Amino acid sequence: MEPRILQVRTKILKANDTLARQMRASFLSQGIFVSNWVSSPGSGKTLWLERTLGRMIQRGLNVAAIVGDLETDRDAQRLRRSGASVRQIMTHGLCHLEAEMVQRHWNHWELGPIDHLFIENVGNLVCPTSWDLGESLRVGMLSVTEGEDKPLKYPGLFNTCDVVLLTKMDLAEACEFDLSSAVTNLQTVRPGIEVFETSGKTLAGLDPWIDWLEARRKVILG
Amino acid sequence: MHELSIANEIFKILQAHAPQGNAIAIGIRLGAWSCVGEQSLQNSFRWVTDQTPFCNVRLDIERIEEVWICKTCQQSFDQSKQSESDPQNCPWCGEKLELLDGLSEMSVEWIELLDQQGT
Ligand SMILES: Nc1nc2c(ncn2[C@@H]2O[C@H](COP(=O)(O)OP(=O)(O)OP(=O)(O)O)[C@@H](O)[C@H]2O)c(=O)[nH]1
Ligand SMILES: [Mg+2]
Repeated sequence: MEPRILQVRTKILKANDTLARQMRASFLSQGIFVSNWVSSPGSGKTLWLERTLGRMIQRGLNVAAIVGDLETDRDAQRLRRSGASVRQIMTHGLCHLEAEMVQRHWNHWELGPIDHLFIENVGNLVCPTSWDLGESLRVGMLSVTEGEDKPLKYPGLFNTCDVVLLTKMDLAEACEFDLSSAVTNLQTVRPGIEVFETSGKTLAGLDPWIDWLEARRKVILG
Repeated sequence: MHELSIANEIFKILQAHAPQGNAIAIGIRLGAWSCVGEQSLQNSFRWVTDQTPFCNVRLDIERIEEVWICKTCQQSFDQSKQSESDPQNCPWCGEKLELLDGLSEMSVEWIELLDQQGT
C-alpha cells in the first residue's frame, strides 16, 4: 500500500453554489429580482420587509417573500399583513438557509408574475455568510442598538453584502449611535458599499430605498 | 452550527474521490473570513464520518490569514503587523489599507489516498 496525494481543488460548497447559479439564471430569465436579507436576530428585517412589501404593492409591483426561522411562522404571519404572498421555512435548528431549501419552496408555489422575491434569512451574523441562495442582491442590516463596531467584528458577513441598511434610526440618539463610525467600519470591510438610514417605525428612508431597489432591478434585468 | 453542513459537503467530496474508502487524510483551506470554527468543524467531521469507511480520515485545515495591502508602499501586512491603535491604516505611510481578496474561500485542496501497490 502506498500513499499518494490526489489534487482536488474544489469549493466545499460547490453543490450549493452550482444550484444557486442555476436558480439565479432561472429567476432572472423570469424577470424576478431576488434579494437575500441577512442580519443579527432582531435587527429589524421583518418590520422593514413588511414596510417594503406594503409600499411596493401600493406602487403596483408584484412581490413575494420567503422567510427562514428556526421555529414558528410568526414572521410569515407578520409579512402577510402587507398583502404579499409569503412562505415560511422552518429550519428546526439549522442556523442559515441553503439554496435547496429555497428551491423546494419555490417549486411548490403557484404564483403569478413576480418582480421582487425577498428572502429573509435566519437571524445570524455568521452562518448565512457562505450560502448563495440564487440572489441578485445581498442586503445586510445593522440596527443602531447593536453598536457601530459589528462590521469589524463580523467582517465575513458584511463583506458579502451589496448594500447595508442601518435600521432603527429613530433610536439612534438614545443609543448615542455614531453614524460616521458605522459607515467607516462598513467601508473598511466592504469598500464602496451602499448604506441607507432607515426606521421601520417612522418609515424614514422607505421611498429612497424602494427607488434604489427598483433602479437596481432594472439594471440587472436589463 | 453551520459547520455540520460544511462537514457534510466535505464528506460528499471525499466519497466522490475515494469511493473505495481508501483515504487517509483530506486537506482543506479556509479563508480568514469564512466564518468556520475549526474545532467545531473537526467535531462535525468526526460525527458525519462516524461508522463509515472514512472514520479515521484526518481533516487537515489550512487557514488563509487576513492580508492587507498598502498601494502606496506596495507592502502587504498581516493582522499582527498592523498598528493596534490605527489598524486600518498603513503603519509606514498612514494611507488606508485595502484587504486582499480570497478571505471567504472554503476549498478542498487534496486527498491523501492509500493505493494498492501497482494500481
Ligand atoms: N424603534 C424601532 N424598533 C424596531 C425597528 N425595526 C424593528 N423594530 C423592533 O425590533 C424588534 C425586532 O424586529 P424584527 O423585525 O422582528 O427583527 P428581525 O430581524 O426580523 O428578527 P429575527 O427574524 O428574529 O432575526 C421588534 O420589536 C420590532 O418592532 C425600528 O426601525 N425602530
Ligand atoms: Mg424576522
